[in-house]
Amino acid sequence: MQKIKTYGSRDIPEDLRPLSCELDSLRDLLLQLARERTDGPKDGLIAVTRMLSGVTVEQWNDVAKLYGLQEWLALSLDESACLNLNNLLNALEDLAHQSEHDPLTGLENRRAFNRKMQMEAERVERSNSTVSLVIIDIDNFKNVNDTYGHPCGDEVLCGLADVLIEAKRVYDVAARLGGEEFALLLPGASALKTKSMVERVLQQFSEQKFGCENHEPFSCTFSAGVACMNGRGSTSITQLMELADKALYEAKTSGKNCVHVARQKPDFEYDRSTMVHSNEKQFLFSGTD
Amino acid sequence: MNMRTNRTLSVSVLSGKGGVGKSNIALNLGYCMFRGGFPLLLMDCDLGLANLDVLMGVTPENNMQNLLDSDMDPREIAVHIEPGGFDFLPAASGVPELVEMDSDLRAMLFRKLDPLFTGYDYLFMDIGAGINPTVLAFGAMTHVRLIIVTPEPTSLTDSYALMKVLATQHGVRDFHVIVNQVEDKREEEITFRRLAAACDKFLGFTPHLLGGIRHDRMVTESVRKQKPLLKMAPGSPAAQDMFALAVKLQRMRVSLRDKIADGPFLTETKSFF
Repeated sequence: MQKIKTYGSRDIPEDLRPLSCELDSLRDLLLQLARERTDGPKDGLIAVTRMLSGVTVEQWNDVAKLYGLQEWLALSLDESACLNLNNLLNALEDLAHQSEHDPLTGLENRRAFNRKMQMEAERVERSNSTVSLVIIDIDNFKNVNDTYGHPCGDEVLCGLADVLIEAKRVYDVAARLGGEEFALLLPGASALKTKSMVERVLQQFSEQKFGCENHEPFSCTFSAGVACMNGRGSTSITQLMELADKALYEAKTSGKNCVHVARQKPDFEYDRSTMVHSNEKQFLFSGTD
Repeated sequence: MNMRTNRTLSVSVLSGKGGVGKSNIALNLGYCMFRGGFPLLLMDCDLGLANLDVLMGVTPENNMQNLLDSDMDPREIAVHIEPGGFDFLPAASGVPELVEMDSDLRAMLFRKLDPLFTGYDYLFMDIGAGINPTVLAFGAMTHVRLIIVTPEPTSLTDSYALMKVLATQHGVRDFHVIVNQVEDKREEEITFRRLAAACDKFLGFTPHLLGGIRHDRMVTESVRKQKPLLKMAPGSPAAQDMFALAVKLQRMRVSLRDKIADGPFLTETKSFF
């Protein structure tokens, strides 16, 4: 359930105060409605329209941004349809971006990552190529937050995001899966190539200094697990995730600040019907098998 | 590939194992055909590790690689080994990328070569050793496949493996076996019979015997001198055997004339027979 933000009446411009009150009560009403319906069916999508004179779309957008009312979409009724459509489009694009990106680091979020991983797995199978998955977890991140505070922790998260964006190729995917957990998807990269790439990233990240108020500058490390799938094998996405997670766990237990590659049996399936068996060879040499 | 009446018989020369005399046999059978009045194009299909130029003592400036990376005309690449119908199409050496040619690249190569092919009675394709996809694709394309074996057990297994893969993956089930480096007729027969029996028992078809070539030190000599044996020592035992094989192959071409005329010149699909 979404948390309801309330704003002090003094933050609201005088002329918009009655509207703000109205919106707050309407929001309460709708959330209550939604709460009562949690057991019922989840379908239904409506737009609630309220005519509002004396306010421009630009004014509304400023206010909406300031008070977290972006889900309230304003459409101008006295301007051209084109402008309205543009506003609608921009709003939809913003929403699409928000729904697939982490607001803090700007990296893709878990939802986008899962979607791209699904696509990549299908491509790998079709084209008989390779993809590597990396799961990265910042070491002792709780201590960072506890010692230096959350704003400083956020700086560390953004620091890692910057290194990942810098290191990745255009078609690689870097994501923040949540908390201090990040992931990379590297199409075409073998496990060993991936390992050396992630070790370079680790080196760069650990050389970064984070300076926070009233504290000595400090640096961080991470641990990472690497797993690989190719079109010849039968590894599923779930298995790939599990393998990378397991490799990450091994990296953590072996002292952190390192990259581990999952121990996978080689994904290599071949056409056994063309194989020459020992009895065939035997027969070639002796005439009996 | 085309609708015109075709008179060119395409022949691939394969072995599985390297060093069994494949290129040398392709060269000398080709030379026989030319001397018999049948224009022939000898194509070095050992892409990536081509060697036929060395056997003939020529050092061509251009090769098939130029067809893939430039607009060069195939007629500029073909080398006239003998005037009047013995031409050679050289390939690049030391280009690993060519070994892993995909079907698009192969199609492009043959589309460019097509205008060149029409003037000949024979196209001989000297295919590399091994069972890589290019070897298999080339082997599956031609009207006739000559499998070169020696009495050595390793040669026997490699050529058997090659036929098994071609049969299983490409549906190719007709092969003509040449037994090279035999002491006598008996060794030729024993070697062929072993191979044929294994094919019959495990693969469900029997290859044809084209014939044998006797062990002959003049062969080594001709390689050193970089001349076809049939030109250098036409009276030597191996030369005479190869001449006999060429005669059989020409008879085969005559008997297949109608089938050749109707079908495409080279095909990426199933076997011809």
